[in-house]
Amino acid sequence: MAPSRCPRAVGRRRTQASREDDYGDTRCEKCGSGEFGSELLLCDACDRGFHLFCLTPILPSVPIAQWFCPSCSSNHHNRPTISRFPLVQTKIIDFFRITQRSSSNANANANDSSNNNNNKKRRRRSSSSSIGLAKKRKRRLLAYSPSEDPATRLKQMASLATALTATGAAFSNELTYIPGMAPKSANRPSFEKGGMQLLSTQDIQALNLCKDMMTRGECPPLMVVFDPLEGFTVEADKFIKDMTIITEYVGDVDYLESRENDDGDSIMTLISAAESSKSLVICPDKRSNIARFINGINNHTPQGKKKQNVKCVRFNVDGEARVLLVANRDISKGERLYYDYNAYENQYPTHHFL
Amino acid sequence: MLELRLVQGSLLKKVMESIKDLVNDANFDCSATGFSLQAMDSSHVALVSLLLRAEGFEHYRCDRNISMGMNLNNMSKMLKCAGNDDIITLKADDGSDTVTFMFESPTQDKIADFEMKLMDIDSEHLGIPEAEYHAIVRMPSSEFARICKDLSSIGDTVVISVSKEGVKFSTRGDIGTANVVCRQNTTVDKPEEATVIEMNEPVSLTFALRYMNSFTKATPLSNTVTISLSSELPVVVEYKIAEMGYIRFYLAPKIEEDDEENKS
Repeated sequence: MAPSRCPRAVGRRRTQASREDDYGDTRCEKCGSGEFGSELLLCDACDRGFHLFCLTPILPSVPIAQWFCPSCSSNHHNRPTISRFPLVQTKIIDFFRITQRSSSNANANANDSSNNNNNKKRRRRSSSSSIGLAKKRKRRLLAYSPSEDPATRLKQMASLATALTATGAAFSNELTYIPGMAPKSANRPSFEKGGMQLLSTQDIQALNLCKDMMTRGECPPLMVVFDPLEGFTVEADKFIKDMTIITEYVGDVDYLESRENDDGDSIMTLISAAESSKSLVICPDKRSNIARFINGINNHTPQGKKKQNVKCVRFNVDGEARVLLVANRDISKGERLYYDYNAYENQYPTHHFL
Repeated sequence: MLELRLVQGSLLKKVMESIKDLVNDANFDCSATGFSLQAMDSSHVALVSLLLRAEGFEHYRCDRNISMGMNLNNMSKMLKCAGNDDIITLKADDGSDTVTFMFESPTQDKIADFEMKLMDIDSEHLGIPEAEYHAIVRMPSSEFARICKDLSSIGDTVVISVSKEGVKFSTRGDIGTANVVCRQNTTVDKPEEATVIEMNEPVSLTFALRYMNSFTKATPLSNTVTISLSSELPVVVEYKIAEMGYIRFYLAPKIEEDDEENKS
């Protein structure tokens, strides 16, 4: 009976203690549960526990570097804190979804998408000339249509500036090759395992138009907003048509191997080579544009995929690999942008995303 | 071709007064079923939804669904020129970019007509789902208006809580706090003075008083106001327009950032 069981029970207790380590009975400060231990983060200052998904904003994975809970970080000034009013006024659109657009904006769209109309005409011409050819008709990429009112554009740029300042980054609209990281010569699409798709001449023109517009202050019609749960996120400030180039994902280009221990949450694969020493990544921590604030979908829920309205695609542009964010359906004003962080590999944990 | 004739013109005047301070420009949608409007205020915190059914008009002709974009301030200026007893007729021709308001005095001896240019307004229609509300309070509209006005002199947010004791409106400010409790009261002389509370679940939500005070501008339209509350949903403040329809105001609540729940 009891005597024969005791030694085994003690043995079990000993092995369990060594597996669980001293924090076996830590509970999350927000929800009070001790479950999901692998996602229970401990503050490096006060040792209190927080689930990754109970934090506001949600963290995608356990940070490799030191992490301080919200109360300790406001004391340590380790992370930029954004001061908020104690009560947050929600908006009607948080509860009710936009269902249809009134027909009265038909005129407005016709006026400000004249270049899109030209593209449409060209699309029709090209399809008639290639009847019976490839089954897959290549759809043309469109340059974005900025907001007409300069005051609106100023607001959009200001929202991006606020977000960049809060994350300690400077604005840059191009891939940057910094001494000490990867040089421009390392960015060769030929290294890509399986090859990289070429960006056609017309699409390169659309991309260059986007870049030129940006230098003139005609930024893409996007607004960066701070959501208490999602963190910084981007919403469309104007209707965006399907296949529009929204922006390019830019940052410092570095070798994947140099960033193995970097726990930044915005690193994007640039080249996935057969030899990992040639693989490159884009790191927007120091220099970036609006792309790094666009959120990802939850790959683990059935409704996660439905939220996706932007796709992230890599192209070989004149012998250089670049990452473009393209709308994959019509996006109405006020809609938040989401793309699949794991479209190519499955390296980004998204199960706690909204 | 659109032609609507409303004998009780004062209803339209009162409707305009109640929404012109909340929304600047909006689209009036006319279909065979009626004349409606759905618009958010500029801060996107409040939504107004108006419906005047075709049956309520003395004459209703709407050949095809049209949306007329109007500046509500200008429309209100024109409607102010109508007498309270006047018969108001609204006319718009197909393809025309103007709308005409005609006011006839009840004795038919004075006729005024006003023409207003329409606007092109980019509007998004929001889908408002049918919902089961946790609590529905029906009370005299003047009492609700008085409570909102009184509380706004103390604080700028009101906490509306419904429990089995009744409905409580509370606020706090620099000078102190204020609470008003209204209990269920059906033993009154007139049915419109009754306070009826249907509670499925207790609910408590916080709202900005300045929006509530602009909703109560619709008090002249009805003796009673219906307030529907549900946690996770905007409050609905509804004034029925006698025999014609309703005007509903939706207001998004204010929430604590710490215990904000997942809304997607």
